[in-house]
Amino acid sequence: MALQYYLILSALLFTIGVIGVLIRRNAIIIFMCIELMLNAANLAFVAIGRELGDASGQIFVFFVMTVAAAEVAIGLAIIVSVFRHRETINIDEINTMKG
Amino acid sequence: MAEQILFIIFGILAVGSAICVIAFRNPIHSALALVLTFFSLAGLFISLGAYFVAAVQVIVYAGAIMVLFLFVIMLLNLGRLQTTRQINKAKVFAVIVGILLAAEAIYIGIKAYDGTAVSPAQGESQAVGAAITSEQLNRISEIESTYHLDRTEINSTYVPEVSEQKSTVETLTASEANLLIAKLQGEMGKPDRIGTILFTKFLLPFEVTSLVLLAALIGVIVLVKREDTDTAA
Repeated sequence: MALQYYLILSALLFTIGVIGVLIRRNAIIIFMCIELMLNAANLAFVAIGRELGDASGQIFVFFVMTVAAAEVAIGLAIIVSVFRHRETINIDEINTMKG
Repeated sequence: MAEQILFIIFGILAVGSAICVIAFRNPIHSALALVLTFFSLAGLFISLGAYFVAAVQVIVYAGAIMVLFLFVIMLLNLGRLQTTRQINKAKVFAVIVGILLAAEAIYIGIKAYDGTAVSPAQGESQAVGAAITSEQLNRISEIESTYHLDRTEINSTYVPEVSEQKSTVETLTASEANLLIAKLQGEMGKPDRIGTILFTKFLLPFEVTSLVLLAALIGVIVLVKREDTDTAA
């Protein structure tokens, strides 16, 4: 299976994630879309690593997963504390910092 | 052939469930669709030979991270918070931006890699029976040093699998050496190989990662800690 097909699939998943971030107003769904984009990048890492015969691509996937786990933990903690103060996680209503 | 079939099945499943993630209105349904996306990606990793990454994908992503998502969704009782669906200018704009981005990324995916960096295992065809080249020998010793393999181990384990009568790398022909390199590279997704380079070549990044997790841990505790005095005491 040629590398191009994996890169195209990775591009499609990444784009779906970007569209999700842009059209959804629920902060948790936006977080899920960010996970989707990170996973699309992981797929590209593994596919290119296989093509070049180098396992470093797979090692990078581990680092991406660690960063994703840290990011999810922090992000969900922010969402929980915002929900406590504002009783909403609709990002249109959380606009105190809007200039 | 098997890889093509797996790619088509898991590829369609991944894209379809990814669309479901952004289309479903109930956050819990979105989270479950995201779990399906992660499973399909794990299937793709298996067909790419990255077995350990696939296992970690299922355990860490589909297991731990998604449980955290579902936990927060259910804790905040977000199932009832549904806004009316309206098609406004922002959404149309988002979809146009998305289509442009997809077109650009697919174009880069097709064009950026033109096959010039072909791995030695698939290099140009050599005359039948030609002796092993110095390039191939270099490549094999590179693999040896990366994965801490022993030449005697390669000679005794992998060389007979490529050519039954032979027992040393140097006696292989060029085409057999290509097979040997492909075989050695095919083993790289296995946990012992991943572990070897993770704890040698990538030891410093690995340790730094633990600091990232520690920082996240402390950050989460500070963020969700209630500041009112009645619960603090």
